[in-house]
Amino acid sequence: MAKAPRVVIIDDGQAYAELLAHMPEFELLRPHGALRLPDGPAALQWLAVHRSDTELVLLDVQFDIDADRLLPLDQSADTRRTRRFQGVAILREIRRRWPDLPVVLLTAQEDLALTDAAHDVSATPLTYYLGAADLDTLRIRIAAALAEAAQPLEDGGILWGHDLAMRALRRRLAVVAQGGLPVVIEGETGTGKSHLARQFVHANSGRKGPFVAVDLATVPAELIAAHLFGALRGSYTGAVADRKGAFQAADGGTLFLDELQNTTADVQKLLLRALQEGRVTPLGAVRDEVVDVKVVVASNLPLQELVATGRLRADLYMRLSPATRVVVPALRHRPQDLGFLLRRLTQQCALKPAVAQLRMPVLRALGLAGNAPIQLVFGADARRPAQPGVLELALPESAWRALQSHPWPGNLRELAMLAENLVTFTLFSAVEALRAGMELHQTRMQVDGGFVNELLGKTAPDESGETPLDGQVFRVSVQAGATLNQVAVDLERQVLRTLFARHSGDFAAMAQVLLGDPARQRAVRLRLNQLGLSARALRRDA
Amino acid sequence: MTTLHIVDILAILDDLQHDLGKHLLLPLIVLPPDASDAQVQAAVTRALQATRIRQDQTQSAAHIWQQAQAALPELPALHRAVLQALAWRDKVIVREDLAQVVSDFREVAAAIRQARAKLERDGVR
Repeated sequence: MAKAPRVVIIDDGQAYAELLAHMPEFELLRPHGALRLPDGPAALQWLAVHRSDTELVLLDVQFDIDADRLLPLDQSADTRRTRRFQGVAILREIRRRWPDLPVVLLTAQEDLALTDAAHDVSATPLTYYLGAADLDTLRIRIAAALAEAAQPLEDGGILWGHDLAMRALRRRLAVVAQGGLPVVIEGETGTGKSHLARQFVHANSGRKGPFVAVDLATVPAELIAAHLFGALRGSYTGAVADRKGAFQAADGGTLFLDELQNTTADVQKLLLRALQEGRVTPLGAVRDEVVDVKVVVASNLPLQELVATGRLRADLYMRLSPATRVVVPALRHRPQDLGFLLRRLTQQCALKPAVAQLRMPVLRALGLAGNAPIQLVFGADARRPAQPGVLELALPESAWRALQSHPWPGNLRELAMLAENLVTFTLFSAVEALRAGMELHQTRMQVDGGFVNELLGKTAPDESGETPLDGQVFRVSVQAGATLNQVAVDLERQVLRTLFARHSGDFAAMAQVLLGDPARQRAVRLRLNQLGLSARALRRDA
Repeated sequence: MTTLHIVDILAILDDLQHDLGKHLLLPLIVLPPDASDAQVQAAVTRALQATRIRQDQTQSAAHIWQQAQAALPELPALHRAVLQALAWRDKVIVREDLAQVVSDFREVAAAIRQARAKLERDGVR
């Protein structure tokens, strides 16, 4: 039998302690021998010592207690209001001190408008609000909060990390993966939408059929309908044989449609029908085909925005059900995960066969085992003595700071590439030294900080004043409602696209214009990749 | 005749709603489905007689209502609902009555909501 989760109650009265007495599946913690913590100050003091014993807090909302025991709510709140919403004030302090402690806010009032006091209560991960308690609903909320808190840092090849938004996302995806409703995954480029669709939604859908992915940005517009729904021989120029569509190929499984904004209104109409009726008609065919497909749609722009700008039919948007929408947070919004992600991505790429050719001679030269792990160390870890049996790549403090302040427009993809580049180039330099007949002794190798800056696109300013970029005219557009950071990234993408077209994809020429040095074409390539642009796609578009 | 400001009157109604939800309805809602007649009687009696417990003070639902009523303007619908709910303290209650007791308490909650909405809309007359 599973161990009973340990719950502490913060309540000005006995009501919730009596409530929990009806629920033997939970172990009620007894602070100082009492059934509850009576107010905020007492709760914070007790939790400071007993946080590790506490798995969940059950928190009352209204506290009818002396004013000197109240935590402040906000500057405009009088004592009465502060009492009425004291639970919110206590929650804020708990969140500030112990962000990963699950809290269920509980009120027996059916109509207490908590949102009046704290807009962020319901949106705060690991926080559940339960009005007008009944036992089963409370059981469900507590179980959900505990499950969310117990989620692993990574599973199924997905690095969830510590970020609370990612935990909430995992839980949401686990729910929407079930059943037949479509799933919408929004998020900036490189956040791992397709990875989530395959490794998590499909894997947890219980569907036995295949996972089929279609990147709608890479299929010529006139062929998308045939690609999705199939076509009979002769139904269009070039259709020399019957072809099965992605819907048919994914029958019984999951169909992942990436970059939905690349579809025309006609294709969207067909998609709507496929979603509504579970039927598709191949081009040139008379009869429908029944398909059983879980559709996952991804977009790096919010679908609502696509509807507003006329790029997505409103009826398809409604059918895609905004209720099943999840948004993958950008990497810059989960800064506490940067170190964890960088370490894991470094370890992962060190295991790639391509890196083995570089890894093995270095490990041999240092007297390390062939399966010795490679670890990136930085910050406080870099100041500790090297771990025995491990090849460590030490990131200079300045490089670590540069990584922390980088906006990561290419998100996880950009970080993964950076990790791979760091490993590859550091090992390559070591191999070069070995080939030159030098001996290596240190199992902690320093990563070149300048190289990190180069990877991040942080080049030194051109001191000559005028650059070849000066005077060039670029037509760029700015999206309404975009953040400054989005605008900056978008403008950079547009400029690079234009330059790519002007120079017919000649990276040396682009490097000459951008950096004043054609030899630095590698930096331009890297930047292109960091921005989520693919040279192949750009050539095709040109 | 009340001399209280509308904000104070709404606060009194909020406090009533809080007591009703937490101290009257909650103990009854969480009674196990197989609760005995005696358990139900005890829960209802305790909810009505020892409704608000603060430090050493215990106040009954009737007392809380009398205090509130003195400060509130005329609210006939709420008054009727409260009297109907308070009437349970004089009755012998068996398990089958529980649903009706809860329903009567919920009627008070609805009447408080309506009174609150009306006061917010029309002010104190």
